Amino acid sequence: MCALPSNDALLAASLRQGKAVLGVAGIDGGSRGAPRAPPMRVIGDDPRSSMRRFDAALTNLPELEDAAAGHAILSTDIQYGVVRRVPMVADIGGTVLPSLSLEILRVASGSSNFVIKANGGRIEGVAVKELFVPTQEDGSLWVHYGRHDAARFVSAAKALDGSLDPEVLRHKLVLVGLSGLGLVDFYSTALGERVPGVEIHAQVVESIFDGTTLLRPRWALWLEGVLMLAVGLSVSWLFPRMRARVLMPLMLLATVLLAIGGVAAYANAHRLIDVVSPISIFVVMFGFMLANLLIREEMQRKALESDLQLQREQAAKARGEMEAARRIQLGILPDVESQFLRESRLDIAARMEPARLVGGDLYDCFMLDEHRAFFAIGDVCGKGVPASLFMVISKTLCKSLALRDEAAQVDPGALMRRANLEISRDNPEMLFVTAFIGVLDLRTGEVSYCNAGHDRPLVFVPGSAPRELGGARAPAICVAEDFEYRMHRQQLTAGEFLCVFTDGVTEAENLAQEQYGKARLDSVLSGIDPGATARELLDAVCASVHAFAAGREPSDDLTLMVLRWKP
Amino acid sequence: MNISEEQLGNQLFKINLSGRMDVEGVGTIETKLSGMTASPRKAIIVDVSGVQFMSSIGLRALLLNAKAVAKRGGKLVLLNPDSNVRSVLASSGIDQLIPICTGLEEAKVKVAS
Repeated sequence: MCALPSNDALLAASLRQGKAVLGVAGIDGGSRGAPRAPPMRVIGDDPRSSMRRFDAALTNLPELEDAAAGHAILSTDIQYGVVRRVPMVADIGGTVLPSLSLEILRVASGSSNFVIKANGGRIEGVAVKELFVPTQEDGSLWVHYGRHDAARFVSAAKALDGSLDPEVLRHKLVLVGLSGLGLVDFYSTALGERVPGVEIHAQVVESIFDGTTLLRPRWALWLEGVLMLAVGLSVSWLFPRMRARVLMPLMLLATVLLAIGGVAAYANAHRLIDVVSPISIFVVMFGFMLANLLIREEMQRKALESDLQLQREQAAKARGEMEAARRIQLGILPDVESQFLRESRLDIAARMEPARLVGGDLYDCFMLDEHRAFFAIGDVCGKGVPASLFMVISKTLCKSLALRDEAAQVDPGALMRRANLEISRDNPEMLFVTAFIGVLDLRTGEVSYCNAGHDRPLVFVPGSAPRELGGARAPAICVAEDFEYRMHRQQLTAGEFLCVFTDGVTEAENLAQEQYGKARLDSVLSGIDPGATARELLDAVCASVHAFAAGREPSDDLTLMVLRWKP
Repeated sequence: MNISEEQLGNQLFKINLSGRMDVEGVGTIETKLSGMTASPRKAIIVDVSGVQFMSSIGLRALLLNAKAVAKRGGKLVLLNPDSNVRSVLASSGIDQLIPICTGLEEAKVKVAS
């Protein structure tokens, strides 16, 4: 039995017959002498410091080692259970061994050595004869995985029982490995498949053969860094300056371009560039800024809404107050029609239409005694609240001054002088009032009056042209403190109309910015029916003015008072 | 409304007004007008030939400035109002307080007296 050759010797003899490559495994710790290695040729600097190092190797039996034509290292590095890179060369205790894939090619090509090209501590690649494989700086190769292909595999059982056709293996590179379940030599590929270690080596050999090895360029990290920086800066700079509507398609386009760039680099040039990191930075930053913007806009919108609500409430309150003021003001003006209902000698109608909620025009009419009617009309300069307040003061003052004296003694000129003094006294805003005051004696039809800068009233008999109540021109009240206002007199004929108005009538504007004017007023007045009442005349004039100014907001307060002496 | 000023001579100023002297118009120019009639100016001609509409607020603005100038011993006159503006000035009696002139030479004379 002892004379029979050992199984090891038989195996060694078989190995010697063909060209076999044996592999060793690198181990850390322990020192067992240098493993057998094929000759290495270095172009450039000593590459040993750059490559993967092991202290020692788990070798084959010496007689098997002697019989093998090639010696390689089988080890790879595993990253989270996935084999991504395979070292093409490794330093084992000072001796450099090529990887299985490299050594197979060396032996198959009949080359006496394998070549390492290094430059200043960086391995540029390995080579066998003319075949140059660029590697990473540490001499490793990113595995360019394909799908697991069962057709690559040949069952060893078939080889052992002789049923395998030798032609299947002729002129092929054959890797012998273990693929049984329960063995630890199974790894995950980058494609997510679990394959035996031997298949990984086979894939490496294939990719070297096909020239489809991958390379992550030395400048890849720089490029990625620059891209990330560029992406980050552009997002943070552009974001506040551009509308989202423009920015989003731009970002999308940039992302797509980056992705295409990365994929193209991989597919066409076999370069590995990490574009996912810049894209992620993009997306994260963009998302963050967008969220920030949306939150801020939401808050802004809420603030604006509550602001608006507050303003609406305030406006409603103000309007409520204004409407109350309007009611008060209109209440101050006398209802002359009812007041004089029972006075048969006087037919009177009056109306004030403020341009805004409250007005600056005033009118008044009351009996001084049983025969004398006092009437007044006034126009405070301006309109709205300031004018309306002044209007109230003026009207009140005027009435109290008129009632102070004996009715028969009332002299409109003197009254105007006194009113001028009184009203000028407390007038910080320097508002002035045009005024016309008159006293009509209902027994005689005589009107004594005074005009302070006001539009001259018109007197007329129906059918004939109206005449102005004349007199010297005097300035409005509060213009000249010491002006000597004078009274004038006019005798009315029976049934004659007296029409007093403010410039809201004559200066009413239409859309073409034309004024109503004296001419139109004259024609309405003279065209009135002889039997018309004061109220009807008033209505006719108001209707005419409104028709003229239709479509336009009134530019001034409109006031009209019509009297008719009917003895 | 528009307002501009020119200096016609030593201490003699001409203010040019144009537009509608209604509430809005006066609002836009009243501060500038007060500034242009302020001390130490004493002789001021206000050219109102470009004023298309004069309301009571406009009269008040002119009046305030004229009174202020007069208080300092100076004089303010109006120059070349158009017919509408002239009738408003007449009926309100303002023309008795602020002289109205129909030519620049007349205005220069009036304002110096």
